[in-house]
Amino acid sequence: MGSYVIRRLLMMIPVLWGVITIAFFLSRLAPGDPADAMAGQRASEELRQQIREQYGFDRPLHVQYGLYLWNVMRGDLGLSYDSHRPVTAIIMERFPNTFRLAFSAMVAAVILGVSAGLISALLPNTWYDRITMFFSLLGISTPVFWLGLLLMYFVSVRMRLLPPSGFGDGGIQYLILPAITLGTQSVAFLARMTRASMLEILNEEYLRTARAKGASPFIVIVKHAFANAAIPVVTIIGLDFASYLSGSVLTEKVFSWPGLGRHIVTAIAQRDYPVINGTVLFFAVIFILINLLIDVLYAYLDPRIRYD
Amino acid sequence: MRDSYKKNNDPTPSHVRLYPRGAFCLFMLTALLFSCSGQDGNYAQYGGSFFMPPPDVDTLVLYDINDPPTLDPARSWGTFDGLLVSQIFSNLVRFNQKAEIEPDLALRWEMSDGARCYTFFLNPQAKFSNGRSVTAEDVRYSFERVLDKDTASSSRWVLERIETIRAEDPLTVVLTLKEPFAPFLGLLAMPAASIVPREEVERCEREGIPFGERPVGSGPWLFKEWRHDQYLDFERNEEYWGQKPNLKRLRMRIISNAFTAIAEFETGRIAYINPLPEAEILRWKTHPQWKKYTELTNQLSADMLVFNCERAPWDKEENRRALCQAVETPLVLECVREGAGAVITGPIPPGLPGFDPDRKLFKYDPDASRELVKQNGLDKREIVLLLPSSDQFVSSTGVIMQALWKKIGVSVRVHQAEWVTYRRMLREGEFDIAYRNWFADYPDGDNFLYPLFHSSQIGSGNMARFADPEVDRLIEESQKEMNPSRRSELLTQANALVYEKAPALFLWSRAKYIVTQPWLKEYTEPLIFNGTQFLAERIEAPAVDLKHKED
Amino acid sequence: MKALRHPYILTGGAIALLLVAAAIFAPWIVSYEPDAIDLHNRYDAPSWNHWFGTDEIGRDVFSRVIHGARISLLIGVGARTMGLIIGVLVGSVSGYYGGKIDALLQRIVDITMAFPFLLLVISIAVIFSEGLWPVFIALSAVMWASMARLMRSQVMIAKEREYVAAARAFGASDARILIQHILPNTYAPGLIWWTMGLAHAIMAEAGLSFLGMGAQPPTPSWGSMINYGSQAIRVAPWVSLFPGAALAVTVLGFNLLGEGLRDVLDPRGQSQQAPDGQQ
Repeated sequence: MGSYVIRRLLMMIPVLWGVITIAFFLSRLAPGDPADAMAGQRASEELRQQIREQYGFDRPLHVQYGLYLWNVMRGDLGLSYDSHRPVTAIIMERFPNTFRLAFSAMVAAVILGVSAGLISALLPNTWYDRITMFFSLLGISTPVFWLGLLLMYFVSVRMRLLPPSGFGDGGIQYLILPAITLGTQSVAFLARMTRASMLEILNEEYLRTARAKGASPFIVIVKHAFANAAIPVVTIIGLDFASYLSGSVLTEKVFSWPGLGRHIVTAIAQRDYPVINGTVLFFAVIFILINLLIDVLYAYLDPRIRYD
Repeated sequence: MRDSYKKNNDPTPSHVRLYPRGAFCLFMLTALLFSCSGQDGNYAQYGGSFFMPPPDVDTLVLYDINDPPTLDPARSWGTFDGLLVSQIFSNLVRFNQKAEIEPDLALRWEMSDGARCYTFFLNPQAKFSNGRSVTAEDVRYSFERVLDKDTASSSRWVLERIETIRAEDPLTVVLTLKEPFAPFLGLLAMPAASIVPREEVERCEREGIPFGERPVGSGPWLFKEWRHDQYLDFERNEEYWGQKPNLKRLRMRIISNAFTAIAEFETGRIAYINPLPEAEILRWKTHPQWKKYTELTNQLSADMLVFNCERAPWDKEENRRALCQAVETPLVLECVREGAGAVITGPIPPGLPGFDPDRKLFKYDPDASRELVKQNGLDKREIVLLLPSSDQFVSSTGVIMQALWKKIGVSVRVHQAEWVTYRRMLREGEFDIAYRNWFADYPDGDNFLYPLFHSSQIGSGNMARFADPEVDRLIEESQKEMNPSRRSELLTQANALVYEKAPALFLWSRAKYIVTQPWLKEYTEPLIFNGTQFLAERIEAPAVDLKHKED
Repeated sequence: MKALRHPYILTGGAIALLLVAAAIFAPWIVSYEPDAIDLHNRYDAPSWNHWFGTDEIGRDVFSRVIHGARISLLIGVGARTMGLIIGVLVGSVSGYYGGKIDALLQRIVDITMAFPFLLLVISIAVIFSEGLWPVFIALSAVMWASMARLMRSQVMIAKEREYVAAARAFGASDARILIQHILPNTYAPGLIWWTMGLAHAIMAEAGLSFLGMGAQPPTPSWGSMINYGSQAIRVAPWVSLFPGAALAVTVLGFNLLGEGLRDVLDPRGQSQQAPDGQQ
């Protein structure tokens, strides 16, 4: 196991290099001059040229690339063009918020999705089952930003139950709406996966044996069936979680959530290269690590899987 | 590896019957709920009031869409960061809400040497919030910091007209200009001309923190905390040497979506909606209770569609005028902005010297335009209308123009570009016609003429690439003319001439609707972006049942 | 046909067909041009004349929604098909040859998957200027990776089959073996992949429009209609609710179709794939 993990971690290096390279050249290819974003409308050409020199845009691209790569290897992601603050600080101050949102969205999705899927599996082909499955698909089919606005209007403005947006003092009431909005995207997948895996396993031999031996239905479900159905569900959770961490842009924008996703859109708009590249790199690391974690979890959940 | 595990799937055939109409019904229902939600009575359950009480009577909570890039006067060039800079710092002079010049650090000033030389006498009471007195030396340091090439300040132009800065004694500073410049005091009220304490700037440099993250000044508000993308907190400067604000705290929230801001307002969590999005104007303006709190404020601004005067066929005045005459600007204004604004005849907006209320718009004459289009071959190729992808009404304007010009035979392709790309295309002349809007830096007609249409500004602010010796001459003369009435005359002439030459289709000067909470008293929206220091504002908790107050 | 009796395929297919019909026959269905403005009838509520009402400059929302189906389908089908082609090529080469080529191609797949989805799309949309092309390029550039992964595993399983070994023994070329013997066995997961992701591609276009990228005005894209319309959601909800509903129903339809196809074609769940990325 240990050597497998080490091998996977080593494999990260070329992938991360690729990600950095793509991010670097993509951002340089983008039209528009960062000097335009940094200087006002009345700035003279002289000032723009000075800014270009100061930030090294006038150097050949390969030199800039080499320099950036070297700095990244030393762990230095550079300073934001926009705020002159270290990129690491910018990421670290926003990532916990993104993480909070992604995590709660996942929790919401798991609670809703898995329980809906479980009940569906226990009552297959009833009305309950059909309605649940339909609504879970409907959830996937609703645009995130739209759902967000609707929730905000009904829950906050009309019913006055929760604050409409922001981070507030970090209280949970600020988290609920964005988490539901974001999590809805996973509920459908989770519900369907749970239902399907449960149905398959409930029909298997050993469960019938367990039931025949007089184990209570509840214990059968929890202890035997669910533990075995967990593997595909864990995959979905892991992958969705990874994509939430890097992709909650729309939810963050609708709810003014101070996360990384919203910031990186600003950074792209401002051509704030160090922030764009740094964040992309950071997201890639997270993505790879979560994937690794999923694979390791597999081995724990299912002893049949061995990595060697 | 992961593939080695066989994944399960639903083994039972499902016989679920679905009704696609279900989805439709659901949405129709939602639509119904929205449209039926009568505007009265929404709030009836909250102590019989139509608004929500303030969460805190000592804190003024306002908002803006984007996190400001900096609070460092030397680096600030936007309107929101400019407003915030003017809370923390003082200038020699400042704008009041009506955009008039008032004494700030300078108690009084004298002009000499044919308006080339200004002597300012500082207020001996003035102190930075670190306790040190503000001296003439600080003025010199602050200005030189902006002018220093190494600072790479994007607002260097604000102070570039100054030749020398001399600290006569600790309380007297003498500024000598390269040439007389009539609106000079306006420049000194801009955020870039704020006075900063040297020791604090240097301390930040030593500690490797940008000064814009930890600003210290001598203004009425102290910078407290900046949670990026969440809020900026300010506290009343209890040691302030001038009139202190009534309220204890000021919080500027960052709310990234206009609809979200309205939701926040309706739950009483922010003190105003500013500006009200065009789509919402009618709802608030006609609301039986809210209309009292919905106010229209003019903005010193000009929206225009600039022609690329270096690119044929727009190098010919008659071609430009042909397009101008095919547009009924009052109608467009009514449609895209619900009439919030005033049509303009030239770049100078109403309220500034140079604006001529008696001047008529071009005659709306699409037939003449159609004739000219055919005659001069303007229908030969598709022309590019460049828009920034910002507000909805900008893109609506573009679409309307496209339709109007189609009627006279000109085919237009709308190119909506994201902000930085738009700026580059504008600068490099990659357009036929481009949307442009301009907000006053300082309240003077010159600010709408010189940067936008003086030939020396081609490559900087003059995106139309318009050059006309007569216009140049009038602008230059007006800059040196110190007599207000003669100056106003010159500005009026220049403004009229620019309108006639039509380097741009002048649309309107914007006005905006602002809704304030009934509990917010004495709030006045400033005419110019940094024209307020939130001194008079008060919050009076209304007599409603507060037990419904949440969080 | 058994497949046609499957309720998911039935409803999903009906929605898809309806959509295709709407897209093709759009000009004959609607009685207004999608970009015909009418400044005297702004924000008209739904009525007999304007079934879905009118928007901020008096354009007929129904007409725009119907024409918007073209954009959404074009983007969805285009990006999905492009992704499928690239994915099949890369995946089959990777799975068939294995070894160093496989390792290299798989790293490229890893890189693409590790790159934050929406960010890649935004960056490409910004680079290639505005309009629908960049959206198409961006979505294709992202979506091929999961197909390549899926294809690779399919090819790896297929190439161990006896008939492939037999074909090889008879001296068939690699290309021939791939095209004649291996690819036909992988059409089911490919089809399911294509359908399921279509919804995703359409949604991504809408998301981009919400961020102010993508379709140029006055192009009637659902995403931009929802984006602009949502500002008027309290005053004229129909402007954004109808395109929103159209989008939701479309996405629902393709999801149903995909699920149904999976039930019928792939009961063992070989093609179960994680989404390409989410919002």
